[in-house]
Formats: sequence, C-alpha cells, structure tokens
Amino acid sequence: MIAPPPLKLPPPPRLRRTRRRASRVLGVIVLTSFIPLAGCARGCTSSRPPIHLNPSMDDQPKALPQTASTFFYDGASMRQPVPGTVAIGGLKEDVAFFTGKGADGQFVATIPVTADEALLERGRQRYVIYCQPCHDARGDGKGILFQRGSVPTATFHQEKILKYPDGQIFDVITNGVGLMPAYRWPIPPADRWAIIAYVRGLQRDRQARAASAPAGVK
Amino acid sequence: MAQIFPPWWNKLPIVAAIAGIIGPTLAIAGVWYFFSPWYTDVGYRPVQPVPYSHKLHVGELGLDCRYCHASVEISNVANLPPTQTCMNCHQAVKRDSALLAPIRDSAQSGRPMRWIRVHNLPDYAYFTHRMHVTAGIGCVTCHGRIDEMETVTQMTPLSMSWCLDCHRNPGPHRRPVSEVTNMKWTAPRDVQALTAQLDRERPVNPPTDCSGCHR
Repeated sequence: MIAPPPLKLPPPPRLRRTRRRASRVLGVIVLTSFIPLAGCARGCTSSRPPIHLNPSMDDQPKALPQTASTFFYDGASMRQPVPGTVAIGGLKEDVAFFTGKGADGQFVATIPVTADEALLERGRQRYVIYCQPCHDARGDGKGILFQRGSVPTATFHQEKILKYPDGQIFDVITNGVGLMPAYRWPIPPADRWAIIAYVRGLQRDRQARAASAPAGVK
Repeated sequence: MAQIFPPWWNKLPIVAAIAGIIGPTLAIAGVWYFFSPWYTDVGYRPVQPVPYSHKLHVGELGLDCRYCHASVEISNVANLPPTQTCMNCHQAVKRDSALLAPIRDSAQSGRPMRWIRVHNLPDYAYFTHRMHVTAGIGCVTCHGRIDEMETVTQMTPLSMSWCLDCHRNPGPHRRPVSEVTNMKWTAPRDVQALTAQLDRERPVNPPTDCSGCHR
C-alpha cells in the first residue's frame, strides 16, 4: 500500500517558529548537561580497577614487593634468602644484644645499651605502637584486648615481672610467651631494648608513687 | 525540476555555528572531567578477601598505622602485614568468626592472604615511603582519613602533577614527624611559623627533576 503524500501545511507564523527553535536548543542543552550525571561524578566509589586511558608502561611484567608470581613454585615474587645468609652489617656477633642472654646462657640483668633520653623517647614511641594495644598506656594489662575480648594480659607491675632480668623481657618480646605472640618481626632488637628501658621506667614510677603514698592508698 | 537545496538548508549556518561551539566545548569539558585521574582513579574501592575495617581498628581501637605497616619508616614499601599480625589478637578475639576464616586458613597453611592493592602507582614511578614519613608528610595527606573508612578507598589521584604540587612547595604539607601517623592532626593557626621551624630542624629538598622519581 502506498502512503498518501504528506499534507502540505501552511507555514506557521514566524513568532511560533522562533519559539519552537528556542525550546529545541534549550532541550539540547538540558539533555547534554545530564551526560555526566548518567555516568558517575568524580570521586564516586567503584570496586572496578581504574582504567588508564593511556596505559603507557603503568603495568610492567616485573616483580614488585609483596606481589604474586606465577613463576616461582610458592607463588610469591619475593624470595627468601638462602638459610644462613648474613647481610652486610648483619652478623649478630653481640650475643647479649641480639638474644638477651650472656655467654653463660643466662639472661643479662641490665640492658646492654646506654639508657639515655633518646633511648627512652624511642622506647615510649615504640611502646605506644606495639605494646599499648594490649598492655595499656600504664602497663596494667587493661588494653583493648582486655576491654573488647576479656583476654587477660599481664601487668608489668606484678612481682614476677619486676624481678625479671632485662634479658628475659627481651626474650619474651622476641619469642613471645603464653598468649603473647613473638614481636620479633615488627620490632628490631635496638627498639626492643628501648622498649625495655621505657617499661622499667613505668615500673619505677609506679613503685615510687606507691612508696610515697600514705598507707592504705594506692 | 526539484530544487537541489530543500528549504531546511537555510538553517545550516545556525546549526553549524551551534554545533561548532557546543561540540568542541563538550569534548574539551568531557576530556578535562573524565580523563583526569581525579575521575579515573579516585574512589577506587576494591572488595578485599576479608572485610577488614580500618574504621574499627584504627578509628575506634586506636591502633597505630605502624602496628601493621611496620616497615613504613625504614623501607620504600609500607608493607601489608603478615597474617601473623592479624592472629596476634584474633587467636583470642573473634576466634570463630566466619569472616575471619580466610585469615585462619592463611595462618594455618602459610599461604599469604591475597589482599587487593588499592594505591597503585605506575611501575615507572619509584615512590619511597621512608623518605616521606621521615620528612613529616602525614599518612593522611595521601591516603585520606583511613580511620573513618570501613573499606579503604583511594582518595587522591596519585598523578604526577599532584605529586609535583607538593614537591614544588612542600612547606604547607609538612607536619612534625611525631604526628605523621596521627589521623586527626590539624595544622596550627600559624602554619608559616611551623613550616619555618620544621625547615630549620629538618630542611627538605624534594626533587622536581625526572630522575627524582623515574630511574
């Protein structure tokens, strides 16, 4: 069937035509202004990895720290040094400094470094980072692990720990004891001694306060 | 004979003029807006294998960044913690949580967790965390308020121009080194005095030449 030819209408008045044209332009502007909204504005979150429009050499086939590898059998791109490897300057000759034990195998009584202001300050910093979460700021063992999980944590102000030689505390930090895991990895040996110096300071303060307080008040 | 140019060709000049203005304007605006790393990279929030909440652990429990990211002061890399770090507490707290099952599996098998990297620089940019945190650039300056994030999200573009903005004028971005991991630190009213003091104590000279970051 053939469609009838379109009916020729008389041209509309001039005023109406300009108005219609103006509204059409306005419509285009309004529509295009919605384009950004249809996608996503800057800073909106997405779990999809970013698309780099010019990938350039952003991703190179090289091993980066803490990445996976399809080449090595254990799936890690970082390799372990051969057992027994000693890094330059890493020969642990000073047994007391690195193990807390003297040549006779007994714990050393005092820290094998000089305890000065700088060491105590370093100890305070490291204590706040690694010890305070469980042992709390004053060493009472009422940290978040106790508050949130009711997990008992040792207080430093108990007879047993007051009598510990410094080397034994070093050994506890290094290898852990009971529920406390080893903190060998995040705290290097020098910082462990700094922490011990700071903890000894906490203990001394508490005892001095207890001694000066009137009887019955603690 | 039919006309070669129908009457609507009369509109051509005005249509061409409008298209010639609107088209390029939209194109330029679109590239400016959508091709920028502020659009492509900011807001990346991958779904991690365990929904670890920095808001809980840092914001509420008050763990220091370095409790887990311990190598940040001594290494180029701010390490992701080994599974053992999670187990320090989670051997005793929330031991039976189903959400923590991958952590327990990892601790038992020794296979590392496959966390998904959020902040990913191009491989030809060599960033070092050690230099930045010891120069008094706070974690929050680049990573945003991690202590308020349930899931870590990229907050800054990590683009070259963004890096250079600070490298050319580091002063106002510096803070005392003791406050680097403090998420809530705000600059004192007299920033210039602090900047002057920090510059005296530890002058910095961030590189702005190519080889500073590209080897």
